[in-house]
Amino acid sequence: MATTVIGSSIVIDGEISGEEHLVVHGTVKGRINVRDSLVVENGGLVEATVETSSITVNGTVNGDISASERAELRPNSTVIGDIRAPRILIADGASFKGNVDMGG
Amino acid sequence: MAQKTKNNLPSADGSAEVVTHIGPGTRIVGRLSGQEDLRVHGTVEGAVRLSATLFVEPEGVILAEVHARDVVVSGTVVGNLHAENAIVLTASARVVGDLRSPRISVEPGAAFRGSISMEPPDAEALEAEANASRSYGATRSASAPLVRGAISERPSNGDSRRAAPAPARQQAQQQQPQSVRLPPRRAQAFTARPEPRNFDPNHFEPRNHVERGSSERGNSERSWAAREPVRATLPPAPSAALPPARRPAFEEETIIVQHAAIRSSDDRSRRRAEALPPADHDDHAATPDEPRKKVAKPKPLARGKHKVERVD
Repeated sequence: MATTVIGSSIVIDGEISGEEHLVVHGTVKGRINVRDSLVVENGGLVEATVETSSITVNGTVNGDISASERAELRPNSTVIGDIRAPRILIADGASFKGNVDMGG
Repeated sequence: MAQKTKNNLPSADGSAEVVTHIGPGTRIVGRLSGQEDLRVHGTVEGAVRLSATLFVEPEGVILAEVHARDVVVSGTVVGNLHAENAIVLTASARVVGDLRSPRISVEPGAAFRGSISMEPPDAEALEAEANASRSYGATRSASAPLVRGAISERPSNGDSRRAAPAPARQQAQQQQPQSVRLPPRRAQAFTARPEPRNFDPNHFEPRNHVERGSSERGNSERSWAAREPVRATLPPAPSAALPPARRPAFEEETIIVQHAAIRSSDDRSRRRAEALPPADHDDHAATPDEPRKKVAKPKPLARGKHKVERVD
């Protein structure tokens, strides 16, 4: 099972790093650095600097996002921070405040 | 014991649905807290605080201080484990650290180095626990049978410092009623000074021979309290006899043995009450900023005490 799931009642204050898919239902503060994709589920809260290959946000991200492939903000998501990714999808209904850098 | 409690222990395969899962390629550094089961296949460093069960899977590595309701270790843990309910070390477990839980199960094949304490983890630091144990006496003593029955699981070669105070403390609570316990301020003063500086080590040797119950490292508040009158008694003695440093060792030993023998008798609590009257506490509290005074205070009282003993 090459995936990591952070449950809804879990609070992590620190750094998460790894090579596998990460799903966040809970709260992560600090720093996330995963090679694979990152999904912030509805109810999930990430207050961290994020580096990943691709990120999908259904919940809330408060921090800078750097994705090597793509970043997707789903409806009802909230993102405050700069996004740096070659491909960025912002769905209707998503809330976003910050700068976008698609320069690669 | 493991057989008896096995049914209530969390099973290693985890019957309940586990939501949170740290994959084998993931590493978490920092503080992790939560109210749900956590299954670690990867690495967690820092601190873990759960109100549910922590599963450390065979490939999982925990380098952290862990507080949880239950801990089931099949992998590697370096750090202290505190569980409110139970700790299970399965056959593939590798643990270096101290375990503290009311129920602990170590299966054959598990590797473990550290100490075990089977008191419930209701205080953070052990030093604080040692001091606070006077006020926690009533609740702690409820777990005394568990401690007695299970302490045999402690490895004999390990550092038993953490586990050792448990039996001594239990004894102390059972033997001395609440009314004669030392006031907290005095307790801190003695705990803060592990060895009385002005005291010849020779004075301690015979006491340890006489009072076999407490080990040298495991002497908790009971031993400190018991030792205090002896230390306070001998220095003022020169007015009545030769200076202590010049006197032959056997004389001092004789006196100390008398002390210890009388102390070990049943009227110990009465004597304690005499040696530390309430007036002394009040007087003592009036000058809290002079640490030297705290030690010197019992001297005159103890001298009077001393005379009574020698008459005996």
